[in-house]
Amino acid sequence: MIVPPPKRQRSLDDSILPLINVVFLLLIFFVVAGVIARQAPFDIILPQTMRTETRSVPAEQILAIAADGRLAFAGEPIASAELDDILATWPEGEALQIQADSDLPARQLNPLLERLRRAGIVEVRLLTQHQSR
Amino acid sequence: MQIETAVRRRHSISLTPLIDVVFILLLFFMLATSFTDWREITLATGTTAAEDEQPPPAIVHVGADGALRYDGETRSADELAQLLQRRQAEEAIAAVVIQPDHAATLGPTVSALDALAATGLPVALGKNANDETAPAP
Repeated sequence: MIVPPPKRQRSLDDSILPLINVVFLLLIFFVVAGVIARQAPFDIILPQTMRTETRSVPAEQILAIAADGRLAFAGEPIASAELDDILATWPEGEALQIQADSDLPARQLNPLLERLRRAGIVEVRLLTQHQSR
Repeated sequence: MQIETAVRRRHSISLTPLIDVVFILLLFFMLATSFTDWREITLATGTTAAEDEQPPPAIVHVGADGALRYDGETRSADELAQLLQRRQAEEAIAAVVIQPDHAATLGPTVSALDALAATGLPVALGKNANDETAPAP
């Protein structure tokens, strides 16, 4: 006696398999192509550059400066006074990455750079967003 | 009478929980990843001293509206880059200092740093001339 295989069950699995294939491909694409963005606790619109060629990826230990001068280090908001403690433990000779909002008054950067210099940080890298012409 | 169909029952992972998990992972990576093309500009923290015999640096002021002023004249970034390159060829300047005005924001200042770095001249962010005692942010 020949019994036909159950029709319903098979057609459901067969239609779900291509879906899983596509979802897996999308997943792999996002994992490989993207960078997990570390969010500062406030909105930061990075200043835009067109000609700078030095590529970069935000580091984990990044100093963020909001448009109103608030600071955050490694994603955690910090008071201005706490910055010196953090900088005291900064490894010698290591460059510090900073991301600052493009609406920050440019002159506010100088006292901060001065503090970084006094803390012994020799290199500061300002993160920007590339904009193609 | 019930007869088992032996061939089809091979996968032991059921697909519905699997696809649930995969969907959640996909959602997470879609929301958490960023495709921004980041660049970085190295800022001097003020440790380099200019040598004495060098010609003075060109000072470019950035206004609140983003306008660039050099030698008292407002110029576009491209014009200014060409002019500064000529001045460098004449050995009239050795470096460029970007000096943001009081109300100038970081956006136009960084644009100026970006545009004038293309001249090949060393470009630096200027120190605050008259408010050295300004409180730190």
